[in-house]
Amino acid sequence: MADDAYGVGIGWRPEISGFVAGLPGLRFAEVVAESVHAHGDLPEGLPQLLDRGVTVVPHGVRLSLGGAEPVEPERVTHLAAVAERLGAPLVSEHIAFVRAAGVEAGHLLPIPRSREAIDAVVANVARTRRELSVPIALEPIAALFDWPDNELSEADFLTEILDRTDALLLLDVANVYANARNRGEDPLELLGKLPLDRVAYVHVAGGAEHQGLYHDTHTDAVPRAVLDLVAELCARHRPPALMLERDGDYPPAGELRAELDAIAAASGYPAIT
Amino acid sequence: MEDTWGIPGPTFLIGYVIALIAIAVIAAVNRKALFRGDRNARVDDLGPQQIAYLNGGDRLAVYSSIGGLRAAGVLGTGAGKTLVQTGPVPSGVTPLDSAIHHAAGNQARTRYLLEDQWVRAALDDLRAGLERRGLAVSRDTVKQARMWAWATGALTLIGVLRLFAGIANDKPVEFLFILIGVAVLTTIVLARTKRVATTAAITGLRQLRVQHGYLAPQQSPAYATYGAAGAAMGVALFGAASLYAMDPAFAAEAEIQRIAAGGLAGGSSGTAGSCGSSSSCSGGSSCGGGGGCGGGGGCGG
Amino acid sequence: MTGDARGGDHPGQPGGAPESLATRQARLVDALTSGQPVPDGFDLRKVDAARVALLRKRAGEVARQWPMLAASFGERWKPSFAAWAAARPTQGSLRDGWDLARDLLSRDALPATAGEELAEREARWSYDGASAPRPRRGPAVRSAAGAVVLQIAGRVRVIRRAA
Repeated sequence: MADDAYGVGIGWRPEISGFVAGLPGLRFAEVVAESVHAHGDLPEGLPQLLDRGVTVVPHGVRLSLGGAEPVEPERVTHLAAVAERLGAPLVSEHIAFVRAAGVEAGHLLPIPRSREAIDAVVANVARTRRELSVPIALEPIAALFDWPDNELSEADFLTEILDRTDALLLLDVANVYANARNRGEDPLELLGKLPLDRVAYVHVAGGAEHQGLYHDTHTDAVPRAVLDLVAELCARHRPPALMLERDGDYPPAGELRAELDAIAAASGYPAIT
Repeated sequence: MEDTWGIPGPTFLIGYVIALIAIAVIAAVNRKALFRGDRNARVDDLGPQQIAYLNGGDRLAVYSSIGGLRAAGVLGTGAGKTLVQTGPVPSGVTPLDSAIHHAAGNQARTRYLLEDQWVRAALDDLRAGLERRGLAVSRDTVKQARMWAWATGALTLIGVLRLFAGIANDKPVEFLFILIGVAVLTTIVLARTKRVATTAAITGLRQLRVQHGYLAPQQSPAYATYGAAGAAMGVALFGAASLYAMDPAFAAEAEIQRIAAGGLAGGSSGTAGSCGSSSSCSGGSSCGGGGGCGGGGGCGG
Repeated sequence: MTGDARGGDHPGQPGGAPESLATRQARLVDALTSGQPVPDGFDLRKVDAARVALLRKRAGEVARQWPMLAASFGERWKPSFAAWAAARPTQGSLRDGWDLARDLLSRDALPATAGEELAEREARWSYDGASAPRPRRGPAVRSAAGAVVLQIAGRVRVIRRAA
């Protein structure tokens, strides 16, 4: 297991591609699938990363796997083509929906934890997997609100989806923390019930509190509590890769490096900086 | 009817064309040699302001310094579009940085920086150093290159004299007229020769631009992450558009001119271009890019 | 992706029966993007927090695509954009910014610094306001808020700057 572990990685973004290129120990990165052309030039800086042997996983954000409507075939085709271009060992997407009846929400929205919603996700993942030649990992999102008609606990809901789709789990520790905090629950409780052996890799991100709610912003520093959760997770079952996800308000390079080092320290993987 | 000046029209025209071509070819060869610079000169160890000078002359060197000072948080804008200091000058800066920071202390406007005596002195030093290294073309060399305009100018004069003589002689002058036009254009081009970087430097700059492609404004570089040196280098390699990408309000207030640099299209920051043309942006919404899954929102992935 | 999934009863569902997932998802999206009421049963405060967060995220994305437009608002950018966009679902950040800039221009409220940016885009792209902008083939001259811009063969020159 330790041999094929990637260790600490980072979400590749064009804004910080120069920083990512300068990480000597990097072996794992993730790129937003929709920002990569299926056939045209790869984004500036990404080819050099691939040449170095860094594994780059496409991360879809607009497939809308949790939508009641079937996934749009051209989006699935694009995701599959990008995975092939990057030579990625897997792809990832969210358990969420981003549009309904032709209207874009502009963001990942939660779905009800109901049988009907599970059926929708399972059908959409099946449609997606038919075109993919690599496995897919599903990421539960952070939601500021819940649906009123949740039938299942989050753990049961996720486990059933994973069982029925045979997908891997992309566990976002910051999402687990955010949801637990906003619902007044204990994040460790959810960790204890999830199939940790199916975790393909882990997201770690920062957030901030506004008016009593914790927002998973990806534009703030990673809080200590999230790093503690990383340490706890790795003590129970260390996933093969953990990556920092930052989407804006990028801090000075020193701070980004410190965050990567903190994730390395919490997980026990070597520092990549 | 006698030939004008005793030379038949076709013979004169052929001779005129040959002379024009000969001068153009010799001038081109000579200019190439003049502008070649030191082939072994390196650009890797140059600072951003030196690179900026090679890429866009005095003005871009000033802009690169402004970019670095702004990223370091010590430069801002005040009333009347003047520059102001917002902090003490950082340690280890270049003489040009110090001069601009000092000028900002006197509420200088960006466009008058080139007339400031300290800024001027710093730029002259910077240029002289680059000339010694065979990277910058000296003003004398440019003057030398412009000398060829005298040759084509003389040819133009001969043509004009022949034109008048020919008209007086009632000869057809249409072809001559066209050739004179060509000679005039060539003269203008030669007389207006401008050159900052040697061929050696331009080759080096091209490599630097590839190497630092992540600083191109189309990438919306995270200047905070790359620091003051990265900001200055971005401006140096990719022009004033980098200043607008970094801090649009400041750049507009400081009256930064969107001059072209390094063959970039004049002025456009091209941010729209990175999106609209892409076929992979299925659905047309948001087109990948900055999206990500968190971003200010409460429902991150 | 059918339009009828949005309003009222879903076809095939007898009146009074629970609404389909598609209908309920569409109602939620409408509440978050189009100023429609929040469906029954949701925590109003939390859904509203998500709605506001979403608008702020959109404002950031549009600012990335339209830096001068956003900069011309200064500190007021996020609230101003949020107010404008509250009942307008996103068409992508390029078009959102474009629509806002045109809207401001039509009300003579487009700041001069943003005029050049708009004129540049208008000269470079042809945008019908309803579908993705396309690059212009021919040359074009466009003006906005005092700025005049010329585009030939994809190269853009500012002919006149806004005062």
